[in-house]
Amino acid sequence: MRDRLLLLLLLAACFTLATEIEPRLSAYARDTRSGGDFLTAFLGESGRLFANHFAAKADAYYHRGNYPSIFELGARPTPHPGEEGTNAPAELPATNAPSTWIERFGSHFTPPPPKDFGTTNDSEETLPWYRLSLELDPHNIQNYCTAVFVLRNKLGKSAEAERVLRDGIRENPNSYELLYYLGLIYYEDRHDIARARNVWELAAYRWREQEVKKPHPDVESLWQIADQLGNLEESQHNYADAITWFQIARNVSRTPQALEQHIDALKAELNAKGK
Amino acid sequence: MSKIFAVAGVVFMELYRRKDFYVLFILTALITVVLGAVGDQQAVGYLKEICLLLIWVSSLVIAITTAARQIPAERESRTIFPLLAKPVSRAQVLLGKFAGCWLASGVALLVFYIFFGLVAASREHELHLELYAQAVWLHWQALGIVTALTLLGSLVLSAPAPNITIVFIISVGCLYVSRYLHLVAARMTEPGQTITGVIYYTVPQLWFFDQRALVIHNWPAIAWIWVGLATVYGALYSGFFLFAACLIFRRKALN
Repeated sequence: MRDRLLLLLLLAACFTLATEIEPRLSAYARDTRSGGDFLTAFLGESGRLFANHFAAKADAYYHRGNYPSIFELGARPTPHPGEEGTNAPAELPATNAPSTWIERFGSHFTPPPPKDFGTTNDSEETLPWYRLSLELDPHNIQNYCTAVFVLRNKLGKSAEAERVLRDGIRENPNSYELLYYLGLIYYEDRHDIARARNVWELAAYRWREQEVKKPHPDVESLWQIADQLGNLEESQHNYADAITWFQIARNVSRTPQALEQHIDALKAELNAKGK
Repeated sequence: MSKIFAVAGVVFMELYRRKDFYVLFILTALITVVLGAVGDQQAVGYLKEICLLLIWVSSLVIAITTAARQIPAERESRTIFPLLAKPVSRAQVLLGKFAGCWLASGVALLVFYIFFGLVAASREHELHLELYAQAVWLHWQALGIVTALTLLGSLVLSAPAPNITIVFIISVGCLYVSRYLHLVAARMTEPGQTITGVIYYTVPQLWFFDQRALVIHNWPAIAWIWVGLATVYGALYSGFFLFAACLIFRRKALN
């Protein structure tokens, strides 16, 4: 009799515990769904630190293991950006000659400096690290752009690049940089002019929304968006629209003369068309 | 020499009766296999990186914990007295302990690297045997330095726990930070600059023995002459620590 009572008591305790725990678990599951996966929920805000580490790791993989530490970065010139006008992983700063016998001897046991391995970058190997980095910090626009550059330009995986961009836009709906890259995929890879135009126009709108009020607006991005829109309209023989976009690009360009000449040529074309 | 190997044999057998190695190996294998199954199937670098990191951590744990317990355990159980009553010197006991720990770590390392080679080959469909052989060899030399340092620590420090902690911190520092100490020193003011500079030149540069970056990114094997020189470098440090340990052990009261 006592055993049965004990069993009943245990059953009641289990039931009570379940009613107490279930709502908490449901709330936790909701939290993790909105914040990403388990890793994001588990690491919380500290995830950003890890995200930066994994982005650096991806960069190191791109350079086949030859990547300066924070100590070396502090002691060497600042790295300059990768391929011009792209979000390629940054070029490594010039490596100083080994200054001690330990460095000289140790250089035989570490990957050689970048000049020795030409173009054999490990693009494919960078992706797991970028994925991890983006999962941990889904608001880091630069990491999206670099991952998309690697996927699209180095691996030719345009569809996967689009998926990454769409994830990024879902997390950062106001990002004009991501919209710009999405437009590039529509324009250059899919040849879908109408969608590319819509996306770039939205990117220009988002840029104006966020950057106009700033003391130092991101004019480089505006130049990219306006220049692409100008090219798109020119290819469709919409010269009036093309001139408008090129004029915007010229106003923020570092070399306005070349654009000025192009605008004049388009104006002439437009006049000839009008006659 | 036979006396040293007799002591080493006992240490060797003792390690494989304990469960440390098996637990660490199963843990390493499990984590690697799970990550390999759920991760990116195209990329292999991240898998090699995690597997090698686990191998380094496991090997350091095996080498340090095994070496740290040797002398204190013998003293605590008082088995050191019948051992020294035999025709064997204290230096031979110490060298035997070192040889046993180092050999046992080496065998464990070999098992770990065979597993690593299988994982890498299953994904890459090629085996970089020469590079892997160099990686195992140099890794073993690093464990030799760490084992000798731990034995020295076990004679200086009162209990195994602080010794294990301190040697682990020193080893990780020598692996990841020691190579940059001269850059840190260059930005410091005196006397910090000189002190950091002296530390830079005196601590064993364990990163010479860490071939992970070359293995992960499939760089060609390094010239064997450099492997030989690194072996000499490792032997000098191991010899220095063992010599210091022998000197201390010779004068140490055991009761």
